Amino acid sequence: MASGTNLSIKKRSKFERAISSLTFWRGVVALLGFLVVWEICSRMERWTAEYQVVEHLIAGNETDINKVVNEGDVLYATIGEYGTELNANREMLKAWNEKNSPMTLKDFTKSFVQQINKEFKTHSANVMERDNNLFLIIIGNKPEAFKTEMTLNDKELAGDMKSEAFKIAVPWIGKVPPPTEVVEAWTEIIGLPGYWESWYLSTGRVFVGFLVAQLIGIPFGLALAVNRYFRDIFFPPFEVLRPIPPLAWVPASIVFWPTTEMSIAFVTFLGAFFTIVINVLGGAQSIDVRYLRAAQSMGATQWHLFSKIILPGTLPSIFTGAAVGMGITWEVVLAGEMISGGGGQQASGGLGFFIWSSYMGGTVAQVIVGMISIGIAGYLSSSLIRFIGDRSMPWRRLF
Amino acid sequence: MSEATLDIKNISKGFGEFWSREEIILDFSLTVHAGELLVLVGPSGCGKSTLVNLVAGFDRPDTGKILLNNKEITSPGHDRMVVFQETALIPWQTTVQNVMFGPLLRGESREKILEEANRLLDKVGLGEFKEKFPIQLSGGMQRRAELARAMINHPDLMIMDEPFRGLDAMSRELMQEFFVRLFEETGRTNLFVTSEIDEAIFLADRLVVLSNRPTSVRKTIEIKLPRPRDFLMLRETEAYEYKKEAMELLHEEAIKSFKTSGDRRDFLTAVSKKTG
Ligand SMILES: Nc1ncnc2c1ncn2[C@@H]1O[C@H](COP(=O)(O)OP(=O)(O)OP(=O)(O)O)[C@@H](O)[C@H]1O
Ligand SMILES: [Mg+2]
Repeated sequence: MASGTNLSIKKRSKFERAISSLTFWRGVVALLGFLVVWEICSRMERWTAEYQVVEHLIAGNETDINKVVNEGDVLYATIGEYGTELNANREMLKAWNEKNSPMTLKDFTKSFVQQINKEFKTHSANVMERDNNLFLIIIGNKPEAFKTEMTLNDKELAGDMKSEAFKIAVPWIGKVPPPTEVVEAWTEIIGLPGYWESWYLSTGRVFVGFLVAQLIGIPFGLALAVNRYFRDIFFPPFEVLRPIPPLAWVPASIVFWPTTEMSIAFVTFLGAFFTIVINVLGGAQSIDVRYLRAAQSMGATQWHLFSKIILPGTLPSIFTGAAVGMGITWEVVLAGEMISGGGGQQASGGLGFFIWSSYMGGTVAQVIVGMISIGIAGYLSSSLIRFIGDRSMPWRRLF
Repeated sequence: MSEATLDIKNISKGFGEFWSREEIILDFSLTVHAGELLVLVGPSGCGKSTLVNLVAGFDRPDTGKILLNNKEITSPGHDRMVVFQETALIPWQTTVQNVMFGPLLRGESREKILEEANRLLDKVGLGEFKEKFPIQLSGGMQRRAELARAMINHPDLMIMDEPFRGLDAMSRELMQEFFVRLFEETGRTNLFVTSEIDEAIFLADRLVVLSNRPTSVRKTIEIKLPRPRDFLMLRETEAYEYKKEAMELLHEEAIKSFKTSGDRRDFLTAVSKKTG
């Protein structure tokens, strides 16, 4: 090396440091472990609940069992949502009869069983002779889809559910689709523009409501904190309106505002607004009087007190309010979308509507995809707030 | 040598509405001469911080007047600088920003102030901590940063309200020594409040023992130890005599307030622990 003496220590980025830290890997392991446990728990029922036996009486005595099958005899079964049938035709009977004795019902059923076993991976079939009776036994490992019917020449055969399925089901999580299924559902919809449009719509609504709430809420909170007359006039009505949950505003705002979009935006705004104002007010009021006094004795004017002490002193609360407000905004937007979008207006979709329609459409995996999407969206937005907070409050990064 | 004189003339101050009114300071008079380090000692809760707030102009006395250089004090001003009992460095400003805060507010030129701030920070031994935030400084460093922040305003009067309270014994001693050197160098008029007798004797030109609530001057003791001071002087008989006298007065004051309640002996042990 030409400049061998020039030693430089490479600075590692925050991400690199995170990757190499123990906490990071602990986190990854914990997440993976969680997913594996979830997978196992929700598949447990399907894995263990295997054998559910259905018997069908094909023939009730020895004569019937050995009855020769004629051309045109049909054995038909519906298993789950599929069907399969065996049709005795001339070629089949000829081929059989040349090799063996004339085809009996027993042999006919046997070849039917083979056909079932070939066609259905989730079910298997068997023939059983007992007490001069011939039974067709069907064994399946998907209890919820297990359903059989069987006919022979349009005559319904007797069927009987013989045994309860044995299963180990984990109480709550067993009902939740496993991660792999969720991922599968996700890969199915990730390419669809509708999914991304839901993201776009919801995010847009959240940010509009949130930003307007910030723009009005911060000055309003600061004004409440610094001006007694302002507080005397505006605080009481504010306190009356604050306990009303944002969702209680939905019907009224649908009436007040001309479009659904505007009423969702308004309710979203309300959700964040009250939290922001309360945080700003509390933050500004809890600034230690010592800082104000120190500034005063060094000759600060009212404007200095506001800009150098009250405003920076309130920043932490502004960001707390923003983080909490952001959470509430997501909550309200989704609820609003469920309420108004669920009414059938496609145009006002969004992630809330996505979840609602998945629920109505009946795929739980898709509902979970929607839920996780919201989780990610919420995480991204609060990370953004944290990032901005860290940038604007360097003295707080030292904790 | 500073020429500023502080005259406190017959002031009273009480808190509470008339039905629950409590007089904290009653007919209190005191003069701090120019270039003097006057130390106030008094039992905890006797109204020392209340008095400091009045002198600083954060609060107004109910009756009487406080004059600095024959001008009545009516509001806070940068001719008086207070170093508070708890740190009052502004958390969102770095050390050097904190120090430059006052002069910049008053529109003084940035370069000149920066230069002086650097000089002062070097002087208080915080040269390497200029860009740190207060929370990154130790307790002792915070106190020194506050001293620098006060000094850059060139006050006529420095007011110190138990500035070294809460420091461990070692840093407390170092700070006392640092402070006494600083005073001997600048000779700025100084009103220093403490509840530690040793500290008081070590620093003071005059020691004023306060009575209990309602507070007034119980006794003024001239401390005739030579300057520059050092800790060995505290071992001399002279210093011991001062200490004894002040302790006795303080005990008396403390007992007065407890005449009606509690066990005397318990209280005495508590007081000697605090002041001794
Ligand atoms: N703003 C106020 N309103 C009502 N009472 C007050 C107020 N400020 C101080 N007091 C009362 O005045 C008394 C003296 O308080 P002060 O803080 O001046 O005591 P101190 O001598 O500084 O005590 P310490 O040594 O503990 O700092 C206390 O009894 C306190 O309750
Ligand atoms: Mg005090």
